Amino acid sequence: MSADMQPGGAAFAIAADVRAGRRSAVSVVTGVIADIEARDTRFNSVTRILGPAAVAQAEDVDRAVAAGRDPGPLAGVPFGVKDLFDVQGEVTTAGSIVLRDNLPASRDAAVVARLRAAGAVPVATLNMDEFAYGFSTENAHTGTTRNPHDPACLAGGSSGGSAASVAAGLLPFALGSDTNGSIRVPSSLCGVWGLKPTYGQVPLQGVYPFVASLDVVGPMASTVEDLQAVYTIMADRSPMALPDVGSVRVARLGGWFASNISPEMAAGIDAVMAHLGGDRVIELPEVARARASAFLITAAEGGNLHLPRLRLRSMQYDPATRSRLMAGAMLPAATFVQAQRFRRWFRARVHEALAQADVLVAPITVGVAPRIDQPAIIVDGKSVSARANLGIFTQPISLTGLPVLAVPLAVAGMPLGIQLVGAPGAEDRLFAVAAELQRAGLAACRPLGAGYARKDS
Amino acid sequence: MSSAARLSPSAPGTGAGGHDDRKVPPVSDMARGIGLSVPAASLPDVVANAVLLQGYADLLAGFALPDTCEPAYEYTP
Repeated sequence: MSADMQPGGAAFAIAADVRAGRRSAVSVVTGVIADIEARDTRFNSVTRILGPAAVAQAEDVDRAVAAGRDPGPLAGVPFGVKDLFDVQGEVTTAGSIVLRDNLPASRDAAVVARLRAAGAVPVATLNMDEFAYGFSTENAHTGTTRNPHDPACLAGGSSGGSAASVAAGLLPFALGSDTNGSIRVPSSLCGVWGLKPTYGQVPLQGVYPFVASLDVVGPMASTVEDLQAVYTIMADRSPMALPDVGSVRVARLGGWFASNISPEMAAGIDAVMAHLGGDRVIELPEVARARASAFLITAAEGGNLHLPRLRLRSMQYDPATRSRLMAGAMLPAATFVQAQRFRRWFRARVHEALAQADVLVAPITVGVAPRIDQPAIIVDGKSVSARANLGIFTQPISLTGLPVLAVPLAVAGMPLGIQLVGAPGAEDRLFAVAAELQRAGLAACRPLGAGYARKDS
Repeated sequence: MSSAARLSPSAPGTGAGGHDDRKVPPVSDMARGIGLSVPAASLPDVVANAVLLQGYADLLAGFALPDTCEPAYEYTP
């Protein structure tokens, strides 16, 4: 067993079987592709199946096993990528027809290359909000991704295809990106594990950009063991020795983060805090302005990025994306600079909080997934757009660039998730707490029937 | 002090809040200034989003930062 892989994960089980010759990588990959073709019509999580290339790589893995060479710690493990990661030979669309005439990528994104070198096989690109600008994965070009736990409900976004493919049991892990909450929100609504690593830690080479000040990429998985293993490879870091969870100081965020949440979310956080023995509540100042700053930086940088294309062919954009990008492109410099200055101020306040606790617990969403035909949530007693407001608890944290692990609570009914927020570079503490919550039965990803777990006949 | 009471401004097109009491940015003039032509069909949504962003900008502008607080352009978490 590689030191990178922990027993207990679905990806680990596949890799162990392939490495031992109990399953062939080709059979795993072709089985997953058949499963996607049979079941994803209900969820619309996949935008493209990378069939020939995936089978060819799986054949390479099988040849390595047959020859006695090390096929890598993720040998034959299928995965999917949000459609903004470069995959060699494929056009990176970022969920839009605007980029469809671009040349295919000449090489993989850095993180895809690292995973491929570890033996993992990209088998599909996954649905997203156009250019990652949204929290709902409602896309005028590629359709809406549905929540596997109730297809009448949103999967969340913008990495909705990634979350839904894991929740549906189509893939053991997938890659997403997170600017304002795009890994965490769909992880919460679909009930999967997700990690937004520390800003700047994982390379963005070959990832279509959105907001340079906030963008990060990370994994989403069905077990915390797989999440950790995939993250370790993506970040090209040594396997983590997790600290004793008893040594990790945990506090919950109050104020903004304790308002507007559903009774189920409040009960879930209460249970987590009771188990971890943390009764400390920390209230960050000026959270509304932190969210506003993230909103404004996003609008300004996103709008500026797309301005040349908006001048020439704006009507190719999803109408909702177009109007947001246009408004952002017109923001005055004074507003953008003020938001960047506020970010500096807020960073200092957050570090003061992190002097009191190692891990901060907060909700990801106000409650469970909204219905697709009623895409609204209740905030401050008002019904507001889900697409724009599902990130009210994630955007302020995005501004800080801190690492956040999205934990699926083990609740009855529709999924709910919480954020474990840590100090910069302290992902190990997040994984220690997450593993304890999984061990205690307070957190669990419950994918629908996992096709990839089926053994060869 | 909780900041949760200051969630507003609300999102456009939600029926929550409204734009009557807020100044409407001169979207057409602003667009012209950056060489952007807003399609007529898109103008209402662009205006709504500009109003939303103006609300956030006003919220942010209401907070005094010390002169020594520099922009976080090269940000390290």
